[in-house]
Amino acid sequence: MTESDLSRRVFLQTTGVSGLALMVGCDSNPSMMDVDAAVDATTPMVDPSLNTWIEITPDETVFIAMHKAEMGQGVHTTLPLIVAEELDVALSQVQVRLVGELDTYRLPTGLPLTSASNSTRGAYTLLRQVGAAAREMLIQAAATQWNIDASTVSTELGACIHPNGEQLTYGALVDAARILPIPEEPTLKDPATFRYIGVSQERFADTQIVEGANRYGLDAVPDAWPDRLYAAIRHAPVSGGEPTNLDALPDPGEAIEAIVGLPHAVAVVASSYWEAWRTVTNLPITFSEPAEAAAVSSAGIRAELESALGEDGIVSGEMGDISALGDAVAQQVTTRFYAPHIAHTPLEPVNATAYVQADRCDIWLPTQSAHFVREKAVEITGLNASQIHVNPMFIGGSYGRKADTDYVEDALRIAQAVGRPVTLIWSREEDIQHDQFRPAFCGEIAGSLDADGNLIGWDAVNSGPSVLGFGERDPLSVQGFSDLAYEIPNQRVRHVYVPSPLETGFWRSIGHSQNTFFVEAFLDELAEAAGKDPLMFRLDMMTDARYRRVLEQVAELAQWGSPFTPGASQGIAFCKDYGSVIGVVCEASVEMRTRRVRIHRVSAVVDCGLAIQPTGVRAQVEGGLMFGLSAALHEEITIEGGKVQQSNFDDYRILTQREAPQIEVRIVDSTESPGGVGEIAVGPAAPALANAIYAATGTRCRRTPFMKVLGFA
Amino acid sequence: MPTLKVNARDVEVDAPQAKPLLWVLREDVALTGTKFGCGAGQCGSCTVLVDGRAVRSCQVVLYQVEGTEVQTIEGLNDELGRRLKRAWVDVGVAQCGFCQAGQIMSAHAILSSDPNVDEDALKQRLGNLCRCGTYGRIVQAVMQVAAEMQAGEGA
Repeated sequence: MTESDLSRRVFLQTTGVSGLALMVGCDSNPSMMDVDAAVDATTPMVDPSLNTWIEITPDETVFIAMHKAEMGQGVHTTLPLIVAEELDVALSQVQVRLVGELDTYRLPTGLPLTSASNSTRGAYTLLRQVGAAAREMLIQAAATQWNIDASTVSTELGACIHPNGEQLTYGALVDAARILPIPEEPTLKDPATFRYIGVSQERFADTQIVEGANRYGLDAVPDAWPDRLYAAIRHAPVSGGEPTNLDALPDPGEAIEAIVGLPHAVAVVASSYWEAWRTVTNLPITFSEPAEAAAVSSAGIRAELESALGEDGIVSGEMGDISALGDAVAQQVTTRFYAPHIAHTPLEPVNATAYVQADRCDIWLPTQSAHFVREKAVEITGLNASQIHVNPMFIGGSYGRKADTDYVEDALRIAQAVGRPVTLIWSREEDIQHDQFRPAFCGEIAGSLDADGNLIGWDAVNSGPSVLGFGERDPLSVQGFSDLAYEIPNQRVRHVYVPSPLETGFWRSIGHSQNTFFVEAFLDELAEAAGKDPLMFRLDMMTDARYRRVLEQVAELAQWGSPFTPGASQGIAFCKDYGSVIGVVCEASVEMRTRRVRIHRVSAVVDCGLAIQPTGVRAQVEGGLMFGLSAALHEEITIEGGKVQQSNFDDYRILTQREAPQIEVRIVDSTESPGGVGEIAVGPAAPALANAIYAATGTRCRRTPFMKVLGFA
Repeated sequence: MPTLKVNARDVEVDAPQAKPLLWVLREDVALTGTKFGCGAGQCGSCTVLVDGRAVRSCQVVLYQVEGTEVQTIEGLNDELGRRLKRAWVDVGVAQCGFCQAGQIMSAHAILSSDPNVDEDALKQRLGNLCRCGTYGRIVQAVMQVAAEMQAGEGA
């Protein structure tokens, strides 16, 4: 399928002009075909660009729909900016509309979920076509009005220009333009003429954010609902537990509207969140503790994962013959690794506002997928998809957490019970204890070196669950573990599936979050056994120019071999995914006396193809590094008696300002297609730090969190 | 009925004396710029100024702030406040933005009492959590404003 075929299908799909057009759409999901308003054959064919993706008002405001979830990664600016570039309007004219990735706004770019660092790279060309097609229609409208050939009309920042200099603004032209035929193959700009793409801009939401005016799910105040209530919730601490004393609870008092029993939780509803929260916290609610779930412990989880390493599992990648190395092997190094369950802890705790009526359901919430939310609402309410109205809001951090609909189900059930709009906010304690955790994984890698210290054999196995629910065939279980960048002649990569007793979900970078740690920390152990510098050991196994470049450049940026901070030590790591590659050097010192790991500086060189917004790329690398360093140093969820032991930021520590390193990011200059950057820096952070800690202390960190390994926590 | 000033406006609050200021602001005064992040004084997302001093509003209650002057992010518009907000936008500090109101309030309190703060001291004193990892840019923005104020540059 050519790109123009794709874009034409997008346009046809989104016009809803005829049943035939709907059938031509790339996606045969019935809910997608139903919800678009039916348009009968006598309605003029309207350009979706100027009625859905783009709306221009007489005062020259340009509303641009943004269909992905904004959770800090900057799509709220980047995606509309791409449209604005091709449309040729001033950014000051642009107002961004958060729309769900549903129906008209669902592009053929994969799952209707903001994930996999795919928002920009998936939609880049399609969004350019949306803007370019709209511009051509505006040009045609002007040409018609001027009675000249469209090829003589140019545009400049929101206006069409006649060869004689006369102008017609887009606002004046849009009514005529919107009913014109959709250009089948709109001409895209020459990238050399880009005004915005590649040039860092102020983010669209920043002024609102600093004024406290940016509304998150937590702040949902649907104006039509003055009778909105708040709900706080307590879930059964042991998985599968049920409330056992609902009928025997004391009168909660006048401030409380209702106590709602849910299958595995109890909610308290009031006109003030604080009243609901303190009541649900203090009520003597008891829950059952199913025996099997109550027997779960961290020690048991780890033992099961380690034991599983000895099973065959499935082979996810193989090269050469790992069993036929024979006398060529001069040394073999085998190391076992462990990464525990960890939590997301977005600063905005999960929340959802729901209003369930007889014939409609309205939901306002932070979500990475309006589609999953709508599906959940159909399931819970029995209404059909066209009766569900999902209003996605700006997200106060997610990192994969708000892709799940567990909190949505809670909110819907409470709203059904109460019959009024309800804003459910999980407390921080609930948010941590009932997270959809990054699962615990174990890994074991055996590396074989020849007499010259070359890596000739790589036999790796990991054990853990499937976050996608695919059992042993989940590609995310081996993300960063198989398909290595290193040219090792004999390799075998296996995965042993072990279900998790805790709920698990997507944690920013997913498989990389533990697998890249295992791989890149192990490579340093091999480098040492081979008597080689860790940078050279890696480069010796890479011929790909793009991979080599980021490692060579980060070594230069980081002054590899000559730390900026006297007495500090350095560690290096590499990662590739999402169409991007990154090299990371961490410079750190370990102070035994004060029991501190000081991360002085992290250098990173990223090649992400065309950087749509360089400041945003840097921000994602800075943020991804800090996210990864936080987990590497501090984070662990422990379970005893089936209960999560951590509850707030005092016992689930995350990286603080005083621990934050200086971060230097260089973006490799490129005009290749944009690659993803939201997750690329997370995976290599832990091994870069582990490798620096080894250089500083001689202690290998083969599990996270490192503060525990060092005996500092 | 308890009265306090919020962003220079007199406000009467019909709520229990034990209600945390955070929820008084969000529910009774309808100012949602101040955020709930942990409810335990750990994260700082709820930071406001009470008589000019940074306070985690989830940890103080209505009777404690009766008769005081409370400033929230919405009302932080003195010269220092405006400079901080502008620097935050210029440097591109925010990612998700949820913690930033609290960060700006904390920065305001630090620079108000110590306009010559150096970077190391600033990092030690800025205790607000950020999960997106904007720490470096926060420091950059605050140091930029500190330098501006010290140089007496035009607003």
